[in-house]
Amino acid sequence: MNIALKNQDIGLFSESASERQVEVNFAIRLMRYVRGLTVAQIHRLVNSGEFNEIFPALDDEATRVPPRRFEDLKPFDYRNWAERNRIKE
Amino acid sequence: MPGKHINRLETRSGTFIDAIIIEGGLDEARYWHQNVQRPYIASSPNFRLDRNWNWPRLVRWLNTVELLAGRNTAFFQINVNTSLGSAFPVGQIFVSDGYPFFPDQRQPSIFLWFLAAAPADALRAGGLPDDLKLMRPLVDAAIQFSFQRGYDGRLTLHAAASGDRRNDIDLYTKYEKGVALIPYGKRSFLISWLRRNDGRYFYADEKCALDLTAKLDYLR
Repeated sequence: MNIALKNQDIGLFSESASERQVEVNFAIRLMRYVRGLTVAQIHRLVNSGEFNEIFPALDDEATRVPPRRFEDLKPFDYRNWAERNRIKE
Repeated sequence: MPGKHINRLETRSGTFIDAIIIEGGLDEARYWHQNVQRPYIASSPNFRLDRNWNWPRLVRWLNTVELLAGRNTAFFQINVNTSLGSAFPVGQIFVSDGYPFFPDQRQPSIFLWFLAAAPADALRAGGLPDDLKLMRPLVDAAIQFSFQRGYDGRLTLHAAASGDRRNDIDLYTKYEKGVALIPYGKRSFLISWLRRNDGRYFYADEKCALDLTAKLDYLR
């Protein structure tokens, strides 16, 4: 199964093939569990904080992110998003 | 103007502030977590449905879950210009691309999974007016994405229940009256195969999306 994350800077799986396989298997099991839930149940998990226990932090959430200049921000670019997500128009 | 995002926000007192809709990633989720979520939402004395949300994990993991279900996702953040020229995030949404549209499940829609607006004390701390109108602009970001995606503005969402009746009615009313989305009601017991309808789903069809778009055209 070839899984490549396409969203912006959200790399999830390790580069090591063996580690990646473990992570992918875990993600598939997790997906089956989550897909068995209704939207309302997923919302309850998130609202209660249980989601944070099921889904661990994969990086340091405390690493400070510096503020940015407003003028440096780029507005959402749909074409760029569509290209990265391999959308066929 | 369908497909064009807003570039300013209005306060309840009728003033305007420059704004921008950006696509977020983990850095934006983390910035929110550190500067809005932890100091102002998690410790808020008032009821907040998002008190326990962790955006870095939501963005990372829900993206994976949706991707494995064959759907793309997008994370949008509204940033405004502070008096010092720095960007401050005042709200954000996480959406899924291609969720079945409730009234006609053969049609794809954008599903609005999560929406959060910065509380007034976070806005004040950022040197911003604390009466920014945020709910409609946040839903509008999802609707404009739907137009861009070629879904004619079709949007679906579920108003999450907190278990507290008053707060649940309040959120339902915000979507129904405040934003003017269409309640799906209880008219079908099953949203889709084995997906129970708890009566808290909303949608926008093309007409509704165009109406909502027109109402915010003065901010584009």
